[in-house]
Amino acid sequence: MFKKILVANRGEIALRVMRTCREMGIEVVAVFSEADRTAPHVLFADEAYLIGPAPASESYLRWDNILEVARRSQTDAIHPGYGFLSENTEFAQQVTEADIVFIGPPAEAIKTMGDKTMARQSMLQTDVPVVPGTEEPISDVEQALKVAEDIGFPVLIKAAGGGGGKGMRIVESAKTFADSVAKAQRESQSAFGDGRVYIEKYLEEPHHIEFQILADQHGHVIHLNERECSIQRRYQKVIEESPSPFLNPELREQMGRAAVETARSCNYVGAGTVEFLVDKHKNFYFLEMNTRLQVEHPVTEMITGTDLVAEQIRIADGQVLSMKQTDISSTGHAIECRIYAEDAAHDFTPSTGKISMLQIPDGTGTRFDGAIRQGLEITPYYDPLLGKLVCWAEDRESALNRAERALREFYIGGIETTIQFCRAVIRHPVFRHGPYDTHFYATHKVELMEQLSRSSDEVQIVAGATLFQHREQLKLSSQSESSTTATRSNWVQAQQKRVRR
Amino acid sequence: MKYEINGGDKALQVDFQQLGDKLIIRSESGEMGFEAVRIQPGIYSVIMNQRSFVVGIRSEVALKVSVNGTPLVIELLDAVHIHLRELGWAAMEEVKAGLVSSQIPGLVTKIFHLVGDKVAEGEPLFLMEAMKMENEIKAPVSGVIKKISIKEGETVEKGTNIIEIG
Repeated sequence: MFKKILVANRGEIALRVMRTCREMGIEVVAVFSEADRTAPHVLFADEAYLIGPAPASESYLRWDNILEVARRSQTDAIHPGYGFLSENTEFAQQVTEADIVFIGPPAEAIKTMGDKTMARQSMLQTDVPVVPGTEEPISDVEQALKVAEDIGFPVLIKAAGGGGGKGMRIVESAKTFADSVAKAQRESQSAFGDGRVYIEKYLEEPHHIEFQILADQHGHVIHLNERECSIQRRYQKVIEESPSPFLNPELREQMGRAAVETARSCNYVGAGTVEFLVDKHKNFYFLEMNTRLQVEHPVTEMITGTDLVAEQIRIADGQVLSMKQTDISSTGHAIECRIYAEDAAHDFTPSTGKISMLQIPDGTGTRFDGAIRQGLEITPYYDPLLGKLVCWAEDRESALNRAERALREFYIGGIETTIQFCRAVIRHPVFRHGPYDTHFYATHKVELMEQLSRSSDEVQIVAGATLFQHREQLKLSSQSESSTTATRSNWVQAQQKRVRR
Repeated sequence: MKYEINGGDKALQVDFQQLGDKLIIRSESGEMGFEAVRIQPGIYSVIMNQRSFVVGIRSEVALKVSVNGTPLVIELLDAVHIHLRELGWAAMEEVKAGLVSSQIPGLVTKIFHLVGDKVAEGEPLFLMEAMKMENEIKAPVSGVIKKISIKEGETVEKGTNIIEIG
């Protein structure tokens, strides 16, 4: 077994991976940018190395610097987390060539599946159904427009080199096509260092359902059931749950088999996720395979009682899968709420600043995977995900009640977050009822936003009276000689700025 | 002291009476005992008629409050301001419609215009990248660009004035 693992990531996922490493008796090495000197993953690690300035392109994406740290620290293996270098073929290859174990699939599998157009081509060779679209990245916009017209608008433009909704655009008509392609290309270039994009048919009323798979180096492949990921905004998942309220046992078995076949088709090794779109008639299509650990992996861990990071490490160490397909059972219901530093009431614009107060929920069946603390500065440099609240209970209704309770308990002061947005979703009757599709957010946006800002007279009075008391206190403290700028509240500074302006 | 708590869609009339550290609030819903204890700068534990709340006063915008997480934008008007409003005085700051500032902190990657360019409402002005997403900022009004305060490649704070359309 490995003695030391370098985690080439930051934020909640770095901490998540490090926790398992430490439980397995493995030392952990952190890398960090200048903006992250006191970030939670740095504090947690046994060793920590500065790898460059704040922008990711100069630090977390600099695989040369990361490899240098791996050599210096005599690391046995590198865990890439998700995002950053996790799906970078060249990085996986360089790591392997440096005689360090890459905790992830072989570079060849990343290449096939990481490149969405290659993945589509490869899947067309199997029995797994694929969404209609272009087979090559767009090189000629005119030609691509013809394909789009053939499969029919609306179409989706997607990044060939990445995921997470970045570089993705929905195009309603030929008129805005060229412009959207250019935008998507720029966005992909900036997010993944790869500007190639492709087109896919946009399915109506689709459900986004994915299967977790595990494959060892000895040809064993299993799936660990599905995650329902249809609650999205801007093509990014916000809430995931398992089991999916839309699947039945037959469909689950069919899709599970398709997921295993997908993994086999590219000689996959490690933990991976096969994403499907399921239309309202319960036809399913291969969407893409993510050749890494997913953000929402804890949902699967909660219902299957596994530690996917530990499985990844054991697989990378050459061990045989400890479980057979028949050993996998799903117990109870799990739901994950992603807590982003975003202002849900204003189109989810990123929110930055210092976390002035923090109360993380706990109690039975409540797990928080995060990397935040009071006083931590949320910078604009990285993904705005602060952490994930995952709740488990015996059945769906109890799990939703638990999640709602935990969200009510969750308090992050100083920045805007998606906590209350998640709460509004969980309370929504359509979500409660179950078989929602990916249009849930767009369809119910107005109601959700209304619920976010709805307040009773009681709440309004509480707000007004607290503001009154707050101002009275400020008056008192500004009258007092002992008050210094440092102890004065931000509110006073904000007022002064307003006056000077 | 008479106050009006204006929450946008409804305005509530209240009377605050300070009683030591506590407040007695009188409103349409009756009389309430109110106590706010500061637990962090800008964050209070409130007990009003034995009901418990956590209230955050958001620092950047003075009138943004959250009660048990629910965000509210309220205005607290005292008797003098209520009177001024009745006389037709707008206490609000003059809003400059043509002044475009950054709603988010980020990197300005592209500016499509030069000073003197004519722009139509809805026309893209510049691109901003924040948290890996590209945002296109459009002209809020039609007019001529009078001023561009930053350069491509510059990082800006939230609220920075970027372009002025006259």
